[in-house]
Amino acid sequence: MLQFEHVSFSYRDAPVLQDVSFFVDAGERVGLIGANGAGKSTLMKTALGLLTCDGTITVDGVVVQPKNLPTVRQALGYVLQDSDNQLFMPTVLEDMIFGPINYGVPRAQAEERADAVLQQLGISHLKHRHNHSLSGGEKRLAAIATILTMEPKAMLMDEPSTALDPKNRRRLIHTLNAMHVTKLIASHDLDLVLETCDRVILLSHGQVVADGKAKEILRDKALLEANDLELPFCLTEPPK
Amino acid sequence: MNQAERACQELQAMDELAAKSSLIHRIGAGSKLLVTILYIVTVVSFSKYDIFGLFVMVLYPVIGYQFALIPVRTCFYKLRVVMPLVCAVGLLNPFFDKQIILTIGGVGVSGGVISMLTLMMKGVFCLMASFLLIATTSIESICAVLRRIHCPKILTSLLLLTFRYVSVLLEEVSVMTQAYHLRAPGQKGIHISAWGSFLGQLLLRSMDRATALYESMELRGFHGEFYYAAGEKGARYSWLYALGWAALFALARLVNLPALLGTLFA
Amino acid sequence: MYGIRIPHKKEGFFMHMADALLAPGVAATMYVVSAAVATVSIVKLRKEEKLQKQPISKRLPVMAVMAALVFAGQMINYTIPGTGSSGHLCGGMMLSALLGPFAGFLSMIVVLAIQCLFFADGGLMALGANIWNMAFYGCFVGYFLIYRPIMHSRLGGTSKGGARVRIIVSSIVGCVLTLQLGAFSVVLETSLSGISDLPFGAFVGLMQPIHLAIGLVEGLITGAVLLFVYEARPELVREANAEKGKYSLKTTVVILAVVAAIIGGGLSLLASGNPDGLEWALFGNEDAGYNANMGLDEENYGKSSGAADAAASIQEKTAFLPDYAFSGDEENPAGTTVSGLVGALMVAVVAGAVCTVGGIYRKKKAK
Repeated sequence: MLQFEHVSFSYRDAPVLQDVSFFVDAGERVGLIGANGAGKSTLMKTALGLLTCDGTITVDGVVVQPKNLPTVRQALGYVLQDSDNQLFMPTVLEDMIFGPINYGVPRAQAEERADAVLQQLGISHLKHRHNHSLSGGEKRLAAIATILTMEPKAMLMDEPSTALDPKNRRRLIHTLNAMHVTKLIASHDLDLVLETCDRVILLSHGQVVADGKAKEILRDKALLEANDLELPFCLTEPPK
Repeated sequence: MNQAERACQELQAMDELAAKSSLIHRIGAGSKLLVTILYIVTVVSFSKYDIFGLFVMVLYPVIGYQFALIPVRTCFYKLRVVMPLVCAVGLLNPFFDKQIILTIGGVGVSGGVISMLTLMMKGVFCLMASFLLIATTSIESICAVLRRIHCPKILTSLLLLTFRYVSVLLEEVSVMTQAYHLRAPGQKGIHISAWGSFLGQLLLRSMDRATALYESMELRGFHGEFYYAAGEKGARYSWLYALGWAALFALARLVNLPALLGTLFA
Repeated sequence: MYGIRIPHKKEGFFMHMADALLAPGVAATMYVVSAAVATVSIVKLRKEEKLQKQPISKRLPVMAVMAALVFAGQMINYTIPGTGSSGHLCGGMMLSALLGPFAGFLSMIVVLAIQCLFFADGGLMALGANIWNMAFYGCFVGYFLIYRPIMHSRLGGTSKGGARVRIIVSSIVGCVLTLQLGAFSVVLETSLSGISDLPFGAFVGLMQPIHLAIGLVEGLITGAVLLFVYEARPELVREANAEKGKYSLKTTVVILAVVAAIIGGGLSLLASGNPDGLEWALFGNEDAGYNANMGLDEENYGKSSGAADAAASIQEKTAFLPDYAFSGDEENPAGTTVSGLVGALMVAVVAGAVCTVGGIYRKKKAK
């Protein structure tokens, strides 16, 4: 589904990604973890063709290069860290049908899709709301809805749980677990990764340091701390 | 509360008003826009001494507000912005125009006083009418009307996109202002040493936001065309509404109704 | 000077024309000229689009976010050292320095439209005039006449420090000049509309000095912001690293001098028609027969200037319903007074009744 082969990227001569290779199969739920500046967002942007890099990235059998971008971007849904940047149309509905219409889906059909997604996420009441009047949690769900309406084959999410309160965070986790698409979730929120992903890729200074089962890596205190991370909250032992 | 915060709340209040449902809300945006423009043009075209004729025009906003279920007082807060220039110009009229043109109970009223009053009335009336329009009509429907009269797409798209980000940036300015004042008690505004960096920081961040925004559009297949909804269709009585008011405005403008009423009853 | 404290708390207080200050003819004219400039801007942007093979749509997000930034930036109070008051940003110069004059102009239109629709700064009918007064001068005159020539000049030397000097100087000169032009246009439009009895000269004397101070402060703010941006990301400030000597500063100075001479000459001509307009107006204007023409300023003042005469005749032709001197009131004011008062009273009663009934209805509905 998503394949990185020897991908490297430098920003002003500073290496951000160094020889990154991994493969994500269809239906997999992968967490991308790493400290600030480890290269998580850059990695996602290279997959989307927003940044050009050395090496080869293949999305669903299509190589990421300028002439293939429409196909690649239709296959990959990208949920931005700041929902305000994702929601630029006046209302939630118009935002949701923005993508499908641009990809040639007739309006009526796009609206049907939007209705289905709204129902799936349980936010039908937001349909005609103005984007600027939404709360933080509603914005995040609406942003996810705009991507789901495009029916992507895989979803890339950048810090999906930032600025969410516990209840909204819980709701997000349920939502993520209920979505059956391939997912690549970049996050510092290791508890969220533990609950939503089966597999974890640990990035450090632009390199893949570990790649394996979520439960194993996230329990490995030494490995996490060596890469400027900490054990997920739920796995730390209560102080004696 | 700082200015940005207040502006945020004003926007929110407008949103709540526009989300109501009433006879006026259901009228097509085109008819409402037309009526508003006709109203403003009519009001402004009254002679500056025709205070009684002008006074009839108060009925449109008063009736409109009632049917739109909007409390009249909500718009008066907004008067603070336009009225200073209007008042500054108007208040000087009595000094320059001293000819007595009215006598009420033996007291002469000069032309300047009358023209000052009509000027202020015009200011208030026009504002009330614009407020009635925007409190009952969403900006999307107004843009849809603008597109129908061939306003360039780039302008309407820009308007909608800007409107979307106005509230985002207002919130940022509001939070930044609060953060500034928490560390600078007793300062009324931003000190000169921070003039550049305060807005400059936000500007740089906003440039990054614009990039992210464009990326997020591009990722969803954007290639230069916005498909905004055509706006809700107005109720059937929309054009009747426009015609009716247009006729009444014309009547009020051409016939001095209060004088006529007065002669009938006095 | 008349015992009125001039509130300069909010920049643009005196620049935002209200509907009430404009005659329909003047407002329509301003709409037409502003629309023409907007059309030119769009055409120019399309040309740039073809030249750079970069669709306008790509610039739309930046234009929108910057317009929103200017809008939000106007809500910031900048304390002016040594005074109790504060300055504000208008934005035209800043936008054109960042986006270029054409995109900047379109962004300013949008800012003014949102201000007029949602915040009642200016009015629907006055929007055309406001676009001209604030966006046109700031974006075009400020950019082409001041900003670009200064940025291309060798002012301040060729080092990085020189660029800083050029940014500050062009911001200040640009803002002062464009605000002066804007203020002058406000006076001109109001006077042409026949709204104010204030003689043209006195009005100008009132507006220009206030806006000199406001422009100076705005220039400083704009300069400070641009300087900050230049230090952090020099590529964002247009023409900052431009080739030197492409445009001659001398040309600008000459153009400015000519403009100043024309405006100054025009003003003194107008003023000479009425030496010391203010005092004359305050003490004994009736003797001078000023009131005889019911305050259409340009008729009185125009006698000394052909341009004003022409303007007056244009105004007469363009006025939507041209009957400013309401003859009924003038000839027999007392006759209509009584009936008028009674009628107005009845209208007030009707309005009050509508409000009360509406209020009761709403309360019932709420229950």
